[in-house]
Amino acid sequence: MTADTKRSDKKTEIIRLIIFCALSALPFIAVPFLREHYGEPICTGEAGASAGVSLFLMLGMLSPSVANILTRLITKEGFKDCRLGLNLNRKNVKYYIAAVVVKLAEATAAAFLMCALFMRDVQLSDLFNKEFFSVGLPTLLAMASFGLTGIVMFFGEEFGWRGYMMPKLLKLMPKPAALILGGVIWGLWHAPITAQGHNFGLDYPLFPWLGILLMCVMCTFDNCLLTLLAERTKSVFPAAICHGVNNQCGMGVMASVLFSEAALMSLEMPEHALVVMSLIMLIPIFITGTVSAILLCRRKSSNDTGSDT
Amino acid sequence: MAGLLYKEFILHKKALWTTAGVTLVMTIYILLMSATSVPEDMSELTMIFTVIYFMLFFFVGFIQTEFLRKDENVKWCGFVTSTPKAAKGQVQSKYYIVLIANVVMVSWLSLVDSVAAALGASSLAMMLHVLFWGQLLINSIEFPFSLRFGVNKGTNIKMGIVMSIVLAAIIYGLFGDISFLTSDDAVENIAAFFTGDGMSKLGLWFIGLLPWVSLAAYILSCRLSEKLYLKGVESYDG
Repeated sequence: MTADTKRSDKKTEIIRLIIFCALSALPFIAVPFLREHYGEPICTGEAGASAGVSLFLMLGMLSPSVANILTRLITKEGFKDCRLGLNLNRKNVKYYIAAVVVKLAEATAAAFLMCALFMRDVQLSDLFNKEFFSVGLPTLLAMASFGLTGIVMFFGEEFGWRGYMMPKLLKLMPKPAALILGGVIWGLWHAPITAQGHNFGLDYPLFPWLGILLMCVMCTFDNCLLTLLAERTKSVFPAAICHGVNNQCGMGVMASVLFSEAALMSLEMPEHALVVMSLIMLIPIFITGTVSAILLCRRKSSNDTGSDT
Repeated sequence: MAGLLYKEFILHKKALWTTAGVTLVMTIYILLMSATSVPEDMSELTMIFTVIYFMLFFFVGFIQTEFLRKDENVKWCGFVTSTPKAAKGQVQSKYYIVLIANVVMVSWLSLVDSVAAALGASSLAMMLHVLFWGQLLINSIEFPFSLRFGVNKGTNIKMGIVMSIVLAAIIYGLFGDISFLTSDDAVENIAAFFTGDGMSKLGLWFIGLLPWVSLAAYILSCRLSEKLYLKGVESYDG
């Protein structure tokens, strides 16, 4: 392959990525109209609890997949390497299990951190939910399984981000740069709804820019884990499952399942609680993201030395 | 695998289009009823929508049986076994296509349920969740029998399971506490059961465990069917 052909391929891939990102962001054109209709930011208050906004967000989650398909059709790329196989074999089953277990571990760690930092005057004997085995555990199992039942929504995002965008970025630039850029693009894609109170609320300093920045940081570390799952299995489904469990079983759910009502009532959350909770959640995400990035980047290094993988 | 899945879509085009058509009609009905009903009718509407969802999953169950029946042919089985994907690929394609059909149905109905909830109806997400995983669990038991002994025997097994559940419900109805069915709030009680309001601890464990048991059973069922498939082919007539 000549240098000119390589440059031309690179240019084509960049154009495809730009088209993909533009198409993914298209549904958010509706955000100002929804804001106008509800008369308040759509991710808070009554608007945030309404079925209409939930429906809009559900459909919005499908936009990266639709963008993937449309970009392939518009640019005549074809549908090679879509990563739609399950590839559920003995080698990959550990990634499917990790997709669920890692996210539950992150949420559990964040719940304990929150407890350690903000719970006041609670004895150890009163800390844990005495109905954990009769109510808490089945609730947790059910919440995690809702992530599986709703897999189409999470597949909707992952087929776009990890099924299309990340493979292209990994080809175009070094892995660390691709992981960071992919995470930032994903975080910025959330910006229109972050500015409507999604995840962090409205009442924090430097609204909405701090929220958008935090979202980009969280998405960057999450992107490392999700990309590791997708690259190792050559399938988007472990990433979709991981995304589903993340959304259904966050720190709040884990805390309500693990700790007693009295312990939860004793929480003295500081100002801008949602932002603080997100920062707490960021700690375990940072750890798993960093480990995932190291594992992902290290594989290429061992390939280069010719060792068997 | 893509080729085998494409074959399934082509062979069962009519059945799939029929199901899509019926689903569309029911969707329009659900949305119209949700938009035009008053809050006092919600409990009756919840029960009607539950019956509709049951019926649509039953349709998918019917197509599933046809996915297996159409390939009960010695020549086809011999041919596909000689391909690179072999018997394992043939069996996996059946499990994949059934999973895809159920996932598409539950996803579409979840969307319809969300729109209906936006229009004022009660959400039946819990019911859809149970129908989806329950269907997969029943398939996990039925398919190895269908692939080993033929679709007719497999269908009999499935009917046996369903009738056992119905019989258990009848026995409970004869001897258990059914005051929630005979009271003035009977309709509201039944509606609350389907929406998951005020669920008991046993119900919570059932909802929590069902998906994981179904998932594990489905994967193990596929592995078992891969081993039994060729023995089953020997008993086919065609």
